[in-house]
Amino acid sequence: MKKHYAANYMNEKKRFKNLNIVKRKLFSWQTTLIGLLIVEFVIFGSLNSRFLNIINLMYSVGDFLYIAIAALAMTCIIAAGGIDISIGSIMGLSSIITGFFWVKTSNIILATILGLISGVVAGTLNGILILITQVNPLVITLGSSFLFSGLALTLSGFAGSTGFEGISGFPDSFVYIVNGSIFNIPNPIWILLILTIIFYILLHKTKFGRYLFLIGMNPEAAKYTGIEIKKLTIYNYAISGLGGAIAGILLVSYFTSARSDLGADAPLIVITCAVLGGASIYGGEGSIIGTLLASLLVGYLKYGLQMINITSHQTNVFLGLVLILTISGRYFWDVLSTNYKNKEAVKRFKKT
Amino acid sequence: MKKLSIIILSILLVLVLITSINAQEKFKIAFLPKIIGNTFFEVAGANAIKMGEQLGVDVMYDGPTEASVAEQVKFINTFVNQGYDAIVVSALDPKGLNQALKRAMDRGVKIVTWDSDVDPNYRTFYVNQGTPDILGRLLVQMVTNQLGTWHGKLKVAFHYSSPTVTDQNSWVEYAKKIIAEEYPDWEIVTIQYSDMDFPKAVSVGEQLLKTYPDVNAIICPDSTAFPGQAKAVENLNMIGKVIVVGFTTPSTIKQYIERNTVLQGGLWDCGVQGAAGVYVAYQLLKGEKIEVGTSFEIPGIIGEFNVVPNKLQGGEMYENPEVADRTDNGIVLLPERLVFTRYNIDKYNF
Amino acid sequence: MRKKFINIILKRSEILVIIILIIYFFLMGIKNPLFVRADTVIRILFNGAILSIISMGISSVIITKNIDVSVGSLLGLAATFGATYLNSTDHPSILIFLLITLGTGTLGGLFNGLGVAYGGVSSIIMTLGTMAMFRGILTMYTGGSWIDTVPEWFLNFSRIKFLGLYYPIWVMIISLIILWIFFTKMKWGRYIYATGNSIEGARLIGIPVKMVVLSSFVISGFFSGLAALIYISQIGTIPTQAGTGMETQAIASAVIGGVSLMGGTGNILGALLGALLLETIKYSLVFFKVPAYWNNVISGFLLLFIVVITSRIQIYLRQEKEREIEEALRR
Repeated sequence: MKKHYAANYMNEKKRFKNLNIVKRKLFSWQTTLIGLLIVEFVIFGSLNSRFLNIINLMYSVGDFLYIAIAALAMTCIIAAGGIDISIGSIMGLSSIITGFFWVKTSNIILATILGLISGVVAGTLNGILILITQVNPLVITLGSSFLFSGLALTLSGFAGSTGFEGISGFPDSFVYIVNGSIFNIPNPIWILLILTIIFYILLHKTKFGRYLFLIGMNPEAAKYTGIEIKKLTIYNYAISGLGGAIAGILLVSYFTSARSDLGADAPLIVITCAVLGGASIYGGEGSIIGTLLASLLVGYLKYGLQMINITSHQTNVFLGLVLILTISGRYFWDVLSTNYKNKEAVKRFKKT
Repeated sequence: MKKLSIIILSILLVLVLITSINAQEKFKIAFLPKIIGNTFFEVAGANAIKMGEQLGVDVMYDGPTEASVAEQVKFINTFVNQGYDAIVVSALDPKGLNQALKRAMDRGVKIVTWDSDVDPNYRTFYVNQGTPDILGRLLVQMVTNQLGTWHGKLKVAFHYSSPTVTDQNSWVEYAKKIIAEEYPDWEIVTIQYSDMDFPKAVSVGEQLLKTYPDVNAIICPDSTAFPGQAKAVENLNMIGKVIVVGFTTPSTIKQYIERNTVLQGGLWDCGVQGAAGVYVAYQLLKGEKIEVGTSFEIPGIIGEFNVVPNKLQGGEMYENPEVADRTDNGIVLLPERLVFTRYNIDKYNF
Repeated sequence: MRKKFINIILKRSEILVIIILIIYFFLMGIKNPLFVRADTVIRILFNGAILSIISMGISSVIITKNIDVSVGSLLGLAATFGATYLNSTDHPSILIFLLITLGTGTLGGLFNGLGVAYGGVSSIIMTLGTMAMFRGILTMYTGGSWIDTVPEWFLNFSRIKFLGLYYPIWVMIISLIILWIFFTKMKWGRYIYATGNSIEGARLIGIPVKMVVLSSFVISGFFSGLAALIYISQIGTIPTQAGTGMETQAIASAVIGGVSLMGGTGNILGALLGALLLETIKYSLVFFKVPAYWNNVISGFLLLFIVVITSRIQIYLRQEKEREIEEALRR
C-alpha cells in the first residue's frame, strides 16, 4: 500500500516536472519574441532615429489594432484545432451592419450593439456548419467568407449609399473610441491591453480555455472526458466572430467610414501573428501573450521597414524571410537545447 | 524580469538621446498610389519621381500591395512620422482616409490628391483626370464613334472591377445618366464585376456574352476588366460582333487593337497626372498661389491645366457650401483625355 | 444493389461530386437553358484547367498532412519569368522556356519542401512566408508593371485543338493520368499516402519520410509551374497579382473532391472534379441574371450548401453501413 503511494507520488512529481518544462518552454518562446522586438527596435532606431519617437510609436498601434484583436480571437480557434478564414469578412459585415443601422436609426449605441451581434451570429453559423458537416473548418469558413462579404456588399447598397462611397457621418463620440486618448496614452493601446487581459483569462485561466486546448490536442480523448465539444466549438467560433466584429467596428471608428471590404486583407496576416506567437496549426498549443507580442513584432516590423524607406515589394520578401527564419531558428534551438540537456543528463547519470 | 526591463528602457533612452534632427534642405514629397504593381500607378509614380528630380525635391513612391484602406492609412501615418512635407495620394476610399489626413494636416503636411479624391476639407487640390461627366461621356462617345451614322436600338452592358470602387462607379453613374437622357433607345442589360482578377474578368466576360447573346456593346472602365472582356470576345470567336470599349493603359490594350478585337480604348496620360501632382504639391510648399479660376502650365508638359471650383465635380461632398466655391481649394484638370486607335497606339509608351 | 451503391460512393467520393455536377447542370438548365450547351462544358474545362492542375498538385502535399498556400504566388512568379523570357528574344526556344517556367515552379516547391522537411518549419508557416516572398520577388523583378503581351504565336498555342479539345484540356487530362499512375501504381506514391496516414508509422517501416514530404512539395511546385505555362498562353497578360487567391480555391477543390486535410486519404481525380465543380459555379453566376453584387452571396451559399449536402450524405451512408455490419454480426 505504502509502496503504491510512493509510486504515485513519484508519478505526480514527474508530471509536475513535465508541466514545468512545458511552461518554461512557452516562457522561453515569449522571451525570444521580446528579444526579437528589442532587436527590431534597436536596428530600426539606429537606421532612422525618427522611428523611436515614442508618440508615433504609440499612435501607430492604431494601424494594426484590428490585426492584433483578430489574432487574439484566432488564437483561441487555432488552440482548439480550428481555423477561421472568414474573420476578415466578418469585419466587413459587422462594419456595414453598424453603418447600416446608424443610417437607419441614428442611434450609434444600438448600431454598435447590432454590429457586434452580427459578428456573433456569423461566428455561430460557422460553428454550426462545422459541426453539421464535420468538414474541415478551412473549407467551411472559406465558403462563409464569400457569403459574409457578399452580404456586406449587398447591405451597403441598401444603406442608401452606393457601395462605393461607404457609409460615413458617424458621431464624434464614436470616432473618439479609437482616435482619442486617455491619460495621454492613445485609446488603441488601452483597448488592446484590456482585450488581451480578457482573452488571456479566457484561454489560460478558465475551464473553457483548458477544454479548448484539450479539444485541440486530442478531440477523441476530449469526447471521452465528457466535455461538450459541440457546445464549446460553437461558443469558440461565436467568440471569434465577436472578435472579428470588435475589430471591424474599431476600423469604422478609426476610418470614420464603413465599407464592405474592410478587413478583406486581414486573414493571412492574422493567422501569421497567431502562429508566430506560438499557436500550433494542428491544435493544442497557443498563447495569448505570444500572439500579442507577435502582433507587435509584425506591426512594428512593417512600420519600421517603411520608416527606413524599404518599399512594400521588398517588405513582402523581408516579412516572409523573417517568418521562416524565426520559426526555423526556434526549431533548431529546440533540437540543440534538448540534445545538450540529454547529454548533461547522461553525464550526470554516469557520475552517480 | 525587472533587470531585463531596465536594460530595455536604458537602450531605448540612449537611442532616443542619440537622435539628432536632420537639417532639412530639400522638400520631401510622398507619392502614394492605390496599389503598387499596376502599370497605371507605376507609370504615374515613375513620372512623379522624374518631376521631383526636375524640381529638386525628393519624391518617394510607395503604397499598399493590396487595395486595402487600412494599409493606405498606415502609409499616410508613416509618411507623416517620417517627416514628409507633402503627400500626393490616390485615395482608395473618399472618406476612409479623413482621420489620417486630418492628423497629417494638423502637423503641417500639405495634401494633394490625384486620380481618386477625398473630401475637399481634407486636401488642398485634386489633380483630376476629368470630371465624372467628362469621363462618362468619353465612355459613351467611344461607343457612338463606332456606330457611325447608325441610330437605333442598342444593348449595352457594363463590366468593371467592383461596386466598391469610387471613381469607376462615378463614371458609370454619369454614363448611365447620359444614356438615359440622350440615347433613350439604348438598353442597359447588365452590370458585371470582376474584382481586378484577370482570369475572373475573362470568365465573367465569356458568361456575359453567352448569357446576353444579343448584347451590342460592352463598356469596361477598368484596367483589368477591359482586356479581360476583349480576351473573352476572342475566346468565343466574336471579333467584330460586339463593340468593346473602356479605360486601360495603351500597352495593355495594344494587342487587342492590333487584332481588331477592340477599336477604341481611352485613358488619360497617367504620367502627366503623376508629374502634375508633384508639381502642385511643390508649388504649395513653396508658398506659390494656385487660384481657382486661373490656369497654369508645367514646364515640359504640353497643354494648360485649368483650376476649377470643387462644385464642378458634383455630389454631396463637393456641393457642401464650405468648399464648393473656395479659391484656395479646388480641382486641377488635366489638359486632355486620350483615345487610342490602331492609328495612334504606337505613339504612347506606357 | 443498394449496399453496393453505398460502398461505391463511400470508397469513391468523386462519384458524389459527379452526381452533384450533373444535378447542378440540370437545375441550371431549368434556370437558364443557355447554360446547358456543349460549348459551356468546353469553356469550363478550358478556363478550369489552371485551377484543376494546381489543385491536383496541391493534393500531393495535402495527402502528406501538410498544406501549401504558396501555389498562387509561385504560379505568378513562374508565369512572369516564363513570359519575360518569351518577350526577351526574337526566336525564343521552347525548351528553354519550359525549363524556366517549370523549373521556377519546381525550385519554389523544393525550397518549401526543404524548409518543411529539414528546416523544422510547419508547412503553413513556411508557405505563408514563401507566398509573401514569391510575390515580392515577382514585383521586384518586374518593377511592378504588368507583362502586357506575349508573342502571338505562343498565344495561338492555347487554341490548338486535338480531337476536338483545346491543348490546355489535354495538359489537364495527361497530368491526371500521370498523377493517377504515380499515386496508385508506384511505390513512392504509396509512400506519400503512408506518410500522411501516420508519419511515425511510416518512419518505423523504413519509409524515408523527410524525402517523401520534400517530394510532395516539389510535385506541388512543378504543377504550379505547369499551370503558369497554361496561364501564359491562355490569358496572355501577366499582372503582378497573377494567381492571388488561387491557393484557397485549390485547397477547397481538393477537400470537396474528398482529399482530407488530416492526410492519408483522397485521390487526384477527386481534386480535379472538385476544381471543376468550383469552376462550374464560378462560370454560372452571370447566367442567374441577378444583380451582380449578389454573386458573392450566391457562390458562398452554393459552396456551403454543396459541402453540407455532400458531408451529410457521406455521414448518413457511413452510419448506414455501420448499421448493416452490426446487423450482419448480430445474425
